[in-house]
Amino acid sequence: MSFLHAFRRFSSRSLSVGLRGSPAYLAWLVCCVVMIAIGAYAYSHQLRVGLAATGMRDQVSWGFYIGNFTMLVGVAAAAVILVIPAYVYHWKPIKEIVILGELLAISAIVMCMLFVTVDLGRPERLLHIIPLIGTTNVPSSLLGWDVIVLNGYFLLNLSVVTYMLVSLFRGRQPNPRIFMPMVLLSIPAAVAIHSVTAFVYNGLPGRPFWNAAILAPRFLVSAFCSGPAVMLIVLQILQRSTRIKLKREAIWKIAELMAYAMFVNLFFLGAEVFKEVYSDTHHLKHLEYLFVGLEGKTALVPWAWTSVALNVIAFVLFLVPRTRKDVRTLNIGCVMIFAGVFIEKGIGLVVPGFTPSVLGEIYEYSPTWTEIGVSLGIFGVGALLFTFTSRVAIAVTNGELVMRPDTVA
Amino acid sequence: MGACTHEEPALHDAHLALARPVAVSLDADGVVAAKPPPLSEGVFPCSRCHLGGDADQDGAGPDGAPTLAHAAHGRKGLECEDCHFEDEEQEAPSIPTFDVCEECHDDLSADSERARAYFDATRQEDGTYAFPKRWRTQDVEPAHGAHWDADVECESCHGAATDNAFTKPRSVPLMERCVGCHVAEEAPNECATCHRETTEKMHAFTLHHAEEQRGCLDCHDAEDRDTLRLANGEPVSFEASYRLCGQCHGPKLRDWRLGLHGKRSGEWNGRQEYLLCAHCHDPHRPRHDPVEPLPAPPRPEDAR
Amino acid sequence: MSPNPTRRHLLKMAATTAALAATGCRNETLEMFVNTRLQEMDPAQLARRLAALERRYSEQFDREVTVAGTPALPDVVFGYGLDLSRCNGNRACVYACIEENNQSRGSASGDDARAIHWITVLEMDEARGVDLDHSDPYYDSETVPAPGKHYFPVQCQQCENAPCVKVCPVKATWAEDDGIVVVDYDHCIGCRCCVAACPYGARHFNWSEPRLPADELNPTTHVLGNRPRPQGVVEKCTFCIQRTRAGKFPACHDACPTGARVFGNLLDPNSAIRQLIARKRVFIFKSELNTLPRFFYFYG
Repeated sequence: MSFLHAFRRFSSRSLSVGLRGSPAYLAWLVCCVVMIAIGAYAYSHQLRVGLAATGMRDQVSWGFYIGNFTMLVGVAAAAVILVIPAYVYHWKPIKEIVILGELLAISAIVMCMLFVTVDLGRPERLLHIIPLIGTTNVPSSLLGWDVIVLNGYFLLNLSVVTYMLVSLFRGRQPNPRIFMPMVLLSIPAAVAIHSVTAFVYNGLPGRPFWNAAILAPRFLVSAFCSGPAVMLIVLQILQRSTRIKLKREAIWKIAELMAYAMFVNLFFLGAEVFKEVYSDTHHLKHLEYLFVGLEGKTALVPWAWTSVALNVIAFVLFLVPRTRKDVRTLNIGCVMIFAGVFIEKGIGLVVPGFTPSVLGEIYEYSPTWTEIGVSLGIFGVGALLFTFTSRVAIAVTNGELVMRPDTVA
Repeated sequence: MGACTHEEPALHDAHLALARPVAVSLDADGVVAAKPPPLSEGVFPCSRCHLGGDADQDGAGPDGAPTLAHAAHGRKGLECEDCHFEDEEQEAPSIPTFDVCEECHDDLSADSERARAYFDATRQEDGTYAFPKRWRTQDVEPAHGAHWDADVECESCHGAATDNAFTKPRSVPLMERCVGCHVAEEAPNECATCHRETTEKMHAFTLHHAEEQRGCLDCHDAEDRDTLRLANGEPVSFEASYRLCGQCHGPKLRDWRLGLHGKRSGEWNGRQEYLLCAHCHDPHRPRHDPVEPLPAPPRPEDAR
Repeated sequence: MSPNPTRRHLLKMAATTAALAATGCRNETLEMFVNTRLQEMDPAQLARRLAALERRYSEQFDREVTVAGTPALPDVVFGYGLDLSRCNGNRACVYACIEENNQSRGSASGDDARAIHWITVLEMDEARGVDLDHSDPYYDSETVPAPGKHYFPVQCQQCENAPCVKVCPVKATWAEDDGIVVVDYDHCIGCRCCVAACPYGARHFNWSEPRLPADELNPTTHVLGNRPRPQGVVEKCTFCIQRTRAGKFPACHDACPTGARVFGNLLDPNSAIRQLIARKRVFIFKSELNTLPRFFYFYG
């Protein structure tokens, strides 16, 4: 029986499996659908009135959408990079960690693409950016590159996961000689997507807040914090709701790596703050706007300090072995890190880059309800996708979803 | 001559009308070749107010008003007082009534052609006569009393009736003569001393253009008020006023010729029209007044 | 606009035709999703596009609208000079630009996001020179110049090394041979990378459907310039491409009551702009960014 035949069967079977589950599971699915509905409504409004429905203007021309996009590229990258320690330390169950990591990456990339799409003024012309069909401006445009690497990364992860799941579905062990090269390739690809995304900002000399060489490294280390945080929580949820058993040491190890990453993240932040504050040039304005406000405009200040506080506290929680090994403080730390990085990337990266504007104007951006609604919808899509695919993947890996011998004949 | 009154409120407009855009083309060296247009109908000539040395002697004045042949009266041996003072008590000379004329001109039919033309031109419908006063004479007239009181002889200003000085310029002395005498005699020398009515009636203005160093006749030709003059005395038309301005503002003139100062319109690669200095700068007050700006762009905060 | 369709163009057409043939889409519908860029059209294609646009706009505004596709003149690269000593901040240029270039008019109260100004005049402190951190584009003093202030108009600098062109992910913006950086409004996807990249705030996005009353429309348009724009695309100053390629000066140049603006051909040594560069000392805005603007500020 061919792989393709198995894939067709797998697809139809997984749909029914994905829609079955505990009441809590089904309630969560409904919750996702409600979020998507809200997002769809908000987006229809945005399509009607244009991007004027957002808080963005010429002065701050990217906002919440692109911030979320950036943060999720980090999640997508980190989820896969998590595969490295899984191999280095021979964690069990490595298969599940790889599959779930890649599924998270896939879901995050889908969300990324949706966030880029809803940010477009002419979404119907999206094809223009697709290589071969459109007029992708490579090698010149970093966004062009970003689209290529994100799609490549998406296809790579999709291939790995599909191959592994369908193989397991067929009752065979996936052949490491087929999937391992792809998994190994996806690791530099993960670094690539995040670096290229950083370069989208980095390559704008007119925006000194982003035009610093430390931006891409900061992106990576913050992704090393937020991605595993999501994974740790997801893994624990799965541990409770499924038969998957994770070694405690693996979780601790991830938390320890996150503590190192967070240290580097804070160090980079400190290095950047020192450079700007001590030099005290015109470039300091952006950092000032973020942390103390400019001309009485202080919308971001509480967020910025919240983010720093969350990151510092989480760093301490993950650094001290006792709190790291306590499930409660560990989870608190994970939530704090995710929230901290979410604020840092979602709000603290994009908006201060535009404030003050290139002509020195201070326009105080804040997302409108339309933007929040649309973003909620996209997170709903991602959550639904990840929930559904993980449900299927777990069903496959624990043998719940297998091609029955009778159907083979 | 610090302060100066504007003798005609429309004078600045007149300057502008004289200085219409000039068709200019650039030659290979980027030098302006200006072709000033001829004075067109309706352009206000300066000589309407400022009688210059070349003004018409007899017959009709530049504004069409009939003029009296003063010189002919002088040659007959008449003194100013014979006509302009009716009695000894009169404090200042006046325009005589026809009664005074009639003492000699008792038979108009026997008069000279010139005299008949003058009376014909001044005769009103009711048979009386209205001898026109020159606009400027009217303005300066009250000054006669003061001169009389100061024992200034008529001849001092107007010359002897038989002199050419009396007839040229007609009955009115050139202003330099007034000013020269006022300076010599330490008489009041403000413009409003003489041009009282103008000062009261008309828009008074102050020369704010290096007024410490400069007066009217540094730019305006004394003889012909329809032209300007350079420092070397060369007359310059209003269309070429930039030459006059450029005497002091050399670098600006250079910039203007190159298209770096002033305003050009037309085609960037072809025919262009230049505005002259006086189009933008009031020559008597070249610094610009503040202007009201057009509305500010909307703030993004308001557009949410 | 290259005379021959490129290989990639053919590939693209093949791919999209195949993709959409099944659904029976008409060519126009296809164009909505995958548009041929104006830059790569051959003359016949361009003529067809121009005619279609003229029909569309004439119908939309109920008056005759012309859409020219005049190419760059040979041996011409446009340059602009602006005398900061003379600008008095009156904003005549701003509004002349809006009228000439069919920018979206905001509501009278200015409380919607539709108003687009291609020229921003910044009010700055005399003592600080060109200091953006202390500049104000919203000055509304009763008269200008205000005491102690000077004025700094900013519009597209038509950079030779344009950051906006570099970042566009779909090649919807490019520099023409005469140096004018243009936008293909039918190809722009509205990602606003160029808005983020432009160090001069010269690129403007149509956040809503533009408001352009028919009686305020300038019907003489250029396909890369002042033709009416749709919602969701970026637009910018083109040195009035519809005027300058026809030999006229840009509208802002003609509108400036102080004569602070100088315009001409950088390749002609006798042009005013070349004389300016030779005789005056000019500076370019944010020269440290190496954008190589063709817009020169000077103190005349």
